[in-house]
Amino acid sequence: MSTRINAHEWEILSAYLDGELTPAENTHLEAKLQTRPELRQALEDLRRTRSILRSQPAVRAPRNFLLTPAMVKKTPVPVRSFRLFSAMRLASALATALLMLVLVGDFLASGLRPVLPFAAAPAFRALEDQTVLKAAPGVTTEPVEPLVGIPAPTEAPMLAQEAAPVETMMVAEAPVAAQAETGAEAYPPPGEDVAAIARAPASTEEGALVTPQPAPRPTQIPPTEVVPETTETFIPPAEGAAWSGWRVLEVALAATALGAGLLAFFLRRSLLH
Amino acid sequence: MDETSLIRAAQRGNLNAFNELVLAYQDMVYAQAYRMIGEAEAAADATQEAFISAYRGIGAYRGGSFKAWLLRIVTNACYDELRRRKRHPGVPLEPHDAEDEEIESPHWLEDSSETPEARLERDELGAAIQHCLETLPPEFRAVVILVDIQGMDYRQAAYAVDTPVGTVKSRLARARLRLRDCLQAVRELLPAQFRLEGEDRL
Repeated sequence: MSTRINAHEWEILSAYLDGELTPAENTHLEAKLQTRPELRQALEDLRRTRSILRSQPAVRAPRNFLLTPAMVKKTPVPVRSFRLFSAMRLASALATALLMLVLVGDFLASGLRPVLPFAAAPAFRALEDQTVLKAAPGVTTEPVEPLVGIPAPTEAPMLAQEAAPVETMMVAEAPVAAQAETGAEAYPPPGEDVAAIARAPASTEEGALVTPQPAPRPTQIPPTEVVPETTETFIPPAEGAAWSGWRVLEVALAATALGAGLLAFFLRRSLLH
Repeated sequence: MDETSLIRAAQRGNLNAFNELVLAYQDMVYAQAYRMIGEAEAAADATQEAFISAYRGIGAYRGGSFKAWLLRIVTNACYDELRRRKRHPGVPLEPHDAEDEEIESPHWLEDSSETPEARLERDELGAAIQHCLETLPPEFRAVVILVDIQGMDYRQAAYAVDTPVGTVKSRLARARLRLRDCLQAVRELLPAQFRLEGEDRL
């Protein structure tokens, strides 16, 4: 059996002296004391050390420390000020906790999000094929070419989603709709927004990173017949609103946590000094 | 007036009521400051500061042990003073002479005037104890003073130093162990019944 006494045993011995152990800990220690003389010696040392400290005569104040009105020009801070401090501190803590929950929720939701475009992609392609083929006979004499010649309104958003699924999902609806209306703008204006950056890889896929491609014969396929269907299938409009809701909630909670925390901090400073 | 009535009156701005509390607790508050800082004048300053802070902040007192509440305030004042001293060191604890040799009898062994703290210093055992206390880190020192000198239980001490009870328990054990080792070095000063013999260390 080891004769060394570890830190935990010193703690137990020290607390035993002060009667701060639970009955179960007491019983356990007393059993160990029966079999380990070094523990008994250590306990005795601690008891004597404590006795030395307790044997000291009480120190008395060398003078009175009465306060004069000059010392305390200000009256005591009202009780309600301390309540306001407590309320602000609580509000900050609650807002921080809620923000954590919302961030976790946002993270989990965004973690699931990229699965959808990949899962939807084959169906989307199939739908596109059907749409184009359906539209083709009445409009054009080249039924196959649109699939090759008009990648931008359909494949570009999809590729962009593969590159940056989360950000693009929030804003992808607008570019698709814009392209549907113009039928010509396959590339976003410079510095548009995150979606513009996200779409860049799609441009690279098309082999035209710098030079915008000319509009690929928009008249061959009536956009109104193709795009609305793909837009509804690909990105439900409600999702954009839900995502901005997350952001608004996060910003609001962060602002509340920060604001209340700062207020509590300055209140505490003014109360205690 | 009882203590509760005095506290309520002080919370309404009655300075006389608060001064009644000062008279009742000044020895205890000063003792904590003196044991923590180890210097009479600085301890008196910390005590005065603590009472001023207590008066200003008495609105925050919401029942419980008023003694523990005051000890919390004075302990914080002592931490502030010790931090200030660390940033701006003044007279070293172990003074050195012109040749940078340590002076044989540092202040904690010197005899001097008639003040209570000087009487304490004249008591060699008391001075040795104070010296050993000053070798502890302030967080350990505060706990051992609160429990072993002020007689507080672990819960009250935990409130006074604003830490969990488990931390108090751990710090107290380590502080007692270090004090035991320190006091062994001056065992000839100890009365026979206090002689320490153990050898185990952490």
